[in-house]
Amino acid sequence: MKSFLQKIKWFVLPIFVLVSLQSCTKNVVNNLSTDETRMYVTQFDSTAQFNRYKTFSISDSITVIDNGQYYKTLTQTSQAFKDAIVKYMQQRGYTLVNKSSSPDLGIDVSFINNSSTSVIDYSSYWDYYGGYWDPSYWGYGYGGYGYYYPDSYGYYQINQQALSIDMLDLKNAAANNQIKIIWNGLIKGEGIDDATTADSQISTLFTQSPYLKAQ
Amino acid sequence: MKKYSFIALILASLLFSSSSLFAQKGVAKLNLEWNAGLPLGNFKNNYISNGSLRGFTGDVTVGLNNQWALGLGFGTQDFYQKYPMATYDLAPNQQVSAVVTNSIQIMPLLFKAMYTPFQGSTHLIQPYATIGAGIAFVNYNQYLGEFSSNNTPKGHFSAMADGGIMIPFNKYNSNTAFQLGASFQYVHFNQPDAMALNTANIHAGFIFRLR
Repeated sequence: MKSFLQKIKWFVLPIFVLVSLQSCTKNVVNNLSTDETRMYVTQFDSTAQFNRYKTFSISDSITVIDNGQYYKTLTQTSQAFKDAIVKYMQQRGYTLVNKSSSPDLGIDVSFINNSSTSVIDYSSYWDYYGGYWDPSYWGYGYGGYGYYYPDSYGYYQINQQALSIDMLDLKNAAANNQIKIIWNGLIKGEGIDDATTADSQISTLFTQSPYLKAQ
Repeated sequence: MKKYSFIALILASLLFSSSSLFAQKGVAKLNLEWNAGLPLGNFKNNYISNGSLRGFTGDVTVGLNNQWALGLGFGTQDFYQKYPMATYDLAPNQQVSAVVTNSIQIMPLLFKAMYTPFQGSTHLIQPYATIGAGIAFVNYNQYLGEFSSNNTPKGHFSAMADGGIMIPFNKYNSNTAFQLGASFQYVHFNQPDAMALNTANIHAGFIFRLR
């Protein structure tokens, strides 16, 4: 046994050194500021013509999906996100109206918090969307209305926090017999739940969505 | 004038004498060096343009005779670059904005042949040339924000050519020395935007006799 070890030691040594030196790798995440940890994804229904919508309404509270449980809330932070969404929608020419005034677009905001070690697949978010956001809120609770989102939407895994903003086509819901989600903005990363950065986070989503305009 | 001629003669005899006082045949040596790498070509253009000071290289060689030694080379080099926040198309109807970070570690494991024309002599400065081929494990991850592509390391064919000098600590024993060199390393990568991860390297370190 000893002689075998003697024979292989010169080959084991380099491998040992190689594994040891691998610890010199620069840690990517430690070199990111909180803002830099985030990624901003937007996706849209390519059949939608956004300039055909003129009015919008935003839900009066946000849905918090917390480790599989969900509830509605309106905190100072969630209000800051709502205010920012309204601000940038109006900058793009859309008019804010009360939801009783038959808006062309409805906007839902969901905050997803996952403190467990497992990840949440974004596709399950869509699958349970009718539970998080009852169609009756937008006046389509009768007649079996369901939500529809395009197959082309990417499915992202959420391992910590995420904010999802969903734009609903209410103008054509009756004709389509379903509520189409024609735009979705997703923010993933650290420190999302922060009122002081809500405006800049929403601004990023709108900046990368130049097609969102009423004219 | 005579004095300078005498000194020149002494220096020349030290540098170019070829007495074989300490042969390297059968001698196993360990070479450990700090390595700085600079990406070239499409590696530089499409992945990481920053050079890296975070690397080591080394080898264990056994002398066949005074001129030739064979061995196993190893090392690691960590390349890293963070790009400012920008927007990218994931699909025609999907866009992402993020700080993109490319992180690449190259870990070669190569069979090497080393040629030392003056090994075993009393030359103060001894040149060497090395060629090697084998496998390089490449660990490439692209981060969007803090989210990694989670790629697993893959082995790729690699080859290298190296040249430099050794300065023995003892003129009668060149098996322990300081070494300084420059190398070119090719790593087959086979990606549309980079068929190879080529690097130019400089390295410096020490050679130790193992047995």
